[in-house]
Amino acid sequence: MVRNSTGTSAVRGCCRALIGMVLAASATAAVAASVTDAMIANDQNTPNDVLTVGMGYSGQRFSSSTKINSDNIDDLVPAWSFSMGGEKQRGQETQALVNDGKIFITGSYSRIWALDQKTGQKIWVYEHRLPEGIVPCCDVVNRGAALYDNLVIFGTLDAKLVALNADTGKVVWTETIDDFKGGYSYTAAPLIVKGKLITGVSGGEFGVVGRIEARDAKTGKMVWSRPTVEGHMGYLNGKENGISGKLNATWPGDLWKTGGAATWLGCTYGADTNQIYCGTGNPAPWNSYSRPGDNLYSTSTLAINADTGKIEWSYQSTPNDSWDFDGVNEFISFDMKKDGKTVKAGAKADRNGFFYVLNRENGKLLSASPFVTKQTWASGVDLKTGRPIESNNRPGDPGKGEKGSAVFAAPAFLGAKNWMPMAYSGQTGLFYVPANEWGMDIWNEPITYKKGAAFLGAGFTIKPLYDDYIGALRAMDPATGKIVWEYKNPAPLWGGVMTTAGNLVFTGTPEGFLKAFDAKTGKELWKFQTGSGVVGQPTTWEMDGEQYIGVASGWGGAVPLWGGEVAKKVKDISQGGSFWVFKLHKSGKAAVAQVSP
Amino acid sequence: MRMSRITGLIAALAILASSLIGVVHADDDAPDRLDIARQKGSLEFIVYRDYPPYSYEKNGAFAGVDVDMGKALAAAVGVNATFRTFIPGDDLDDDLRNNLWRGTIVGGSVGDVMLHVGADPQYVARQSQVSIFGVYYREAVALSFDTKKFKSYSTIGDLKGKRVGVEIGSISDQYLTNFESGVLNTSVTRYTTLDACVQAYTEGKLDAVVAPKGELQGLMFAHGAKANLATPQPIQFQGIFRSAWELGIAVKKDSPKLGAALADAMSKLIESGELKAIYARYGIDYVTPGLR
Repeated sequence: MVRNSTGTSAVRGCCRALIGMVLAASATAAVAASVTDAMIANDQNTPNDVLTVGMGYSGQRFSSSTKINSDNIDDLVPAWSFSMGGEKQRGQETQALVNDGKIFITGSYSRIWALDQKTGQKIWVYEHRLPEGIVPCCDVVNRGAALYDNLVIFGTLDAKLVALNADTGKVVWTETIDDFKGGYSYTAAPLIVKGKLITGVSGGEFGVVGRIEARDAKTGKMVWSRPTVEGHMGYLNGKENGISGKLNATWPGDLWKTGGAATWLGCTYGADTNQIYCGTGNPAPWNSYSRPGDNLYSTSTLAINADTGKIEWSYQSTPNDSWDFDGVNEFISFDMKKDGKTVKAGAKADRNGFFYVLNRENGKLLSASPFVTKQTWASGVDLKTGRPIESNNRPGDPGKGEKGSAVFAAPAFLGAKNWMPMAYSGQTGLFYVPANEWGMDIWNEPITYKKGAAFLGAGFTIKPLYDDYIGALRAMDPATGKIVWEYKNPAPLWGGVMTTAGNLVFTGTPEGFLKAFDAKTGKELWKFQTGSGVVGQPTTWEMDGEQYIGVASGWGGAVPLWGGEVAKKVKDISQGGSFWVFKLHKSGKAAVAQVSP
Repeated sequence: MRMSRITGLIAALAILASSLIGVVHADDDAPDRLDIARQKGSLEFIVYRDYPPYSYEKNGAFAGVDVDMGKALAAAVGVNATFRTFIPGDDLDDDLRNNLWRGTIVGGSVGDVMLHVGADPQYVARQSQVSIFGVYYREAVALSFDTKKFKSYSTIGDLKGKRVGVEIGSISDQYLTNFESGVLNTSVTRYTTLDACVQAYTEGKLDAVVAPKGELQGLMFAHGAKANLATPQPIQFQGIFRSAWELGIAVKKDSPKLGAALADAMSKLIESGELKAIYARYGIDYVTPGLR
């Protein structure tokens, strides 16, 4: 169209620049330390590298490093900072990966960098060319990459997977997940399981059906795909592999064909069960009265066999969702000690406000406890049936002419917890959950339009529940469901959490701080102002006998796209885009003392 | 995270608007888009992508009612028309924001004029960034049925047991799916686009189609529908589902001169019968706004 000519020349310019960098990089590149399945499986126990987003298969975000700890964290100071630069700022939700002397970070607008682990200097950058007309729903974020062999692999806003040579940044393969024109995009970090690259899909409401796909990580070739809505056929090595669920068991008519349940936040892996755990989004269309039934497997956790691509168990947190309670959140495997026994468990803090603990071998519900102060939609969860005990809080049925005065519901559609991952410490036995306290007015809105025609929409306004805070970092005891400590934050929390064996919990705030807390007591021990809101995922590694902490700073994500009272808390936050690295200050160098006159 | 059901953006827009006050002030000094257009010699129209019979690409050029209308409006203002297509957002608020006043977050620039904009007075009144005016057409939901498949049609209940095509997520889909607690659930057959739906209809795979009348009429014309497929007739939805609505023009509020010029041009197109002729070119009976 009109802009093709400029678009093309932009690509040429970009590639020339890239080639220049590639040459410079390859001249100095050492022999690559290829990432193997064994290395990934052992990631949580090797402090010198970070090979996976989630810091290990189970996504616990726990580091065994103790060099930085609750006794010496006062001495934590910046080592270096890297600017993601340019005019492209907005939300930076990445988690760094560290291997072979390099740090890999992804950034807004589908960009990725390799930085020198010692100096923070750029080794290469790959800036994906985004097509014109792309309209990602919820900011232009990226949540991190995956490492395998000598590849670094990430997904793009136009729903592509790109595998780059880790040393040079040169494209090795690209695959299209789906057509961005149909509303598909990709923002999650891929997961590597036994040589396979595991990804989901992000997408708009209509015509989208969620699925999990496994590709050969070295080539991008599809191995299996598993749809997340019942009635759809799965595939293994190009052959039919059975439909998901049972056709029309929980969906009326042909609505299952476009049932939603997008898998936009990716998956974790249980090595001992060989199951991939993935959360699914809400069902389509939005009006729950038009799709009577549970609408499986929307708003669920699925356990998929890593080899066969078959669903081994599922657990649905919000049947027949009416509030936009996506069930995409991370399911973290852990061994729960309770009543003298050890249970193979997994936990998930859901958008709907419940903290679920399941038996990860069979999906059986063990407990469901609130992790926010208000849940209007359900009074609890029946442990026998696993179903919520609903409290008559659905918006009116538009089919019955119920335009409806607004219904107040909590949590709000942005969730008691959104995408930002929690952490689990085997040392304290606690989960650290980044929660938000907000509700919403929700109503049927007849005066709106879609695609050039009248349309019945759902209107809603988001409202904080308290004057003094929205965000709350909460330490949950999974064995009791009790909140052990909490930290309250004025603005909504939107960044990931990490915990370490040094008795520390780290998370960022929209106000710009990276903060550290005592893992046992929740006492705030340290903070650093990064200059923009922190919505990234902190991580840590060791190099030359010292421990480092790294986090991306750059305000964005879904919160600033929304208004209401919440906007007041975040409207003055500066945009940014940088990656900060911290280490313990070492004093005592003689030269320093001599400088003063 | 799909912020899928998005009318709630209204609230967000109000806040965005207030946080953009600084920008609006800066625009006070900016020239009206009409003056810029006259300098450049062209106005950029924003039209929906792949939206026959209104705006679509044919043999490498843009065609359709909205495209012809844009050309006629531009000519009346004394400039050429250029066109830009876009993928619709979750609702019109998204489209106006992405194309007229802010641009998309992926570095998109904005255009001058958007056509095919819903013009309900309540909707118009809650816009803080754009003006909606020049109401030019009344669209209404209509039904066409295959006279070989059923003899007559009087109420929506008559669709029980028939195969009824709709565009997925459209108001027709919403209403029929909800109708009487879902009695038509197994009758409704959903298509990603109305074009695909009408294609299936003309191939005899459907007994009826429910869709906006102009769009349906134009597509049946384009697909060469045979006489057994009845001319679409308006039907009434009950309750809070609207079955008719007005369409107008939108421009950013910073360009009142452009708005006035286009409003004037549009009334001339209507009065002279040129607009009616444009619709007729695509097989659509023009419906004057306000007539029920």
